[in-house]
Amino acid sequence: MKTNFKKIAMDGVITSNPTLKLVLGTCPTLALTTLAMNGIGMGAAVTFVLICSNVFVSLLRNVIPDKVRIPAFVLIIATFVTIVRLVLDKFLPTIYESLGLYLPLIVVNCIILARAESFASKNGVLASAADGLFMGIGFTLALTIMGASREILGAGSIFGVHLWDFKIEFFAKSAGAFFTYGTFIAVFGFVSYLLHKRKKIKSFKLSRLPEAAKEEN
Amino acid sequence: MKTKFFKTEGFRCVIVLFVITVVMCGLLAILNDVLFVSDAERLNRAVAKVYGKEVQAETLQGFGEGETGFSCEAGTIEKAYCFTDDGVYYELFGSTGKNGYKDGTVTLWVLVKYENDKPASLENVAVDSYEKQTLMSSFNSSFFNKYTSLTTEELESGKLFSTAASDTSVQNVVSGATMSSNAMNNAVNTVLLYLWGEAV
Repeated sequence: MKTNFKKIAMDGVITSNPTLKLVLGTCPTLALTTLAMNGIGMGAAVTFVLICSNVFVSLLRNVIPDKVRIPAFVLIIATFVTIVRLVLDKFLPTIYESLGLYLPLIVVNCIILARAESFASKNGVLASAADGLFMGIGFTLALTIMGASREILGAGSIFGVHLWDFKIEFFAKSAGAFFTYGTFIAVFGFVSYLLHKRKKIKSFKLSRLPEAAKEEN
Repeated sequence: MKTKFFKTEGFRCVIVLFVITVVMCGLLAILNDVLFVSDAERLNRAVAKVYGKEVQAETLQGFGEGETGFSCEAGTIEKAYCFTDDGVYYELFGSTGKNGYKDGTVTLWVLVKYENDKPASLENVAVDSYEKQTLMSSFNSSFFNKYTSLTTEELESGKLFSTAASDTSVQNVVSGATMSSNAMNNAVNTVLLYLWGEAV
């Protein structure tokens, strides 16, 4: 079966965006989006773990018995999370410190286990790697955009660069995290709905056209 | 009977999990060796973080391997180093303050500058690590200024930083983070007590 990479990419970034559409990985999303840089750091770490664990799970999908698939997936995911921790501690200690407790918690991140269970264990290696990459990109984008807006509003800066003295403390706190997350989900859902509606209207109009005009379109 | 057991799904499950564990442990063992961060590297990082540049530091007497360090009611000092840069002598303390939020602790790096063989000022204070604390990112430079603005006279007079319950200035800087700042005050107080040689 031919892999539809375009669909995988669209699913990961937009249609099934793990943060804004599936509402997975909410714990790091709420806790780490105080700064845009945290979003990039966490997103990169999750993307690496997603790609590697998806590839491994896909490779071993015919070997791992059904009854022990979850412990086997957790073992694989935990290994890659430990590797990320070692690499960050060695080469990027500042990001390692800022992510703190949430880095080891990637092991229990729903996105990773969900993709291993629902996609990688049923698809080939290339498709699984692509799924990991695009799901990771979707997660990173959502976290970074949320982090950037909270940093601008709550700290008056972006990526650590001071913009102005005006700031609304609320956005730097937990309540601000929930508010921002809710707003982003609502906006994302509304835009998706509009796009879906437009697509539906277009396909309806196309279906009513005569065959010759359809070919032209 | 024996052959039957080796063909059961239970046996296969155990073997698969065992093999995955062994392979992953092997991979981690190799990477752990390659990516190991030595104590010297951690020390250089700490010095660079607090002092701004990397310098050759030595362990202070009493804080070496197997030595007890310093502890008092406010906290403990487990790591202490000294170095000289541009003719100025500095001491760097890794101090852990007690009584933080939900009995958590905060470890601070405190850099002490010496003049005429006496502690002259707290040159810099930075957070090293924290346990059970959630509000640490709220502490900015304006909070740490209260430590670094300590004058030589205040240092000599034996000033200690008050705990959060009575310290209203802390509330203004970081709303709701009084217990975390309490542990920070205790970490700095531990260093001050060590400097005066007044272990409680």
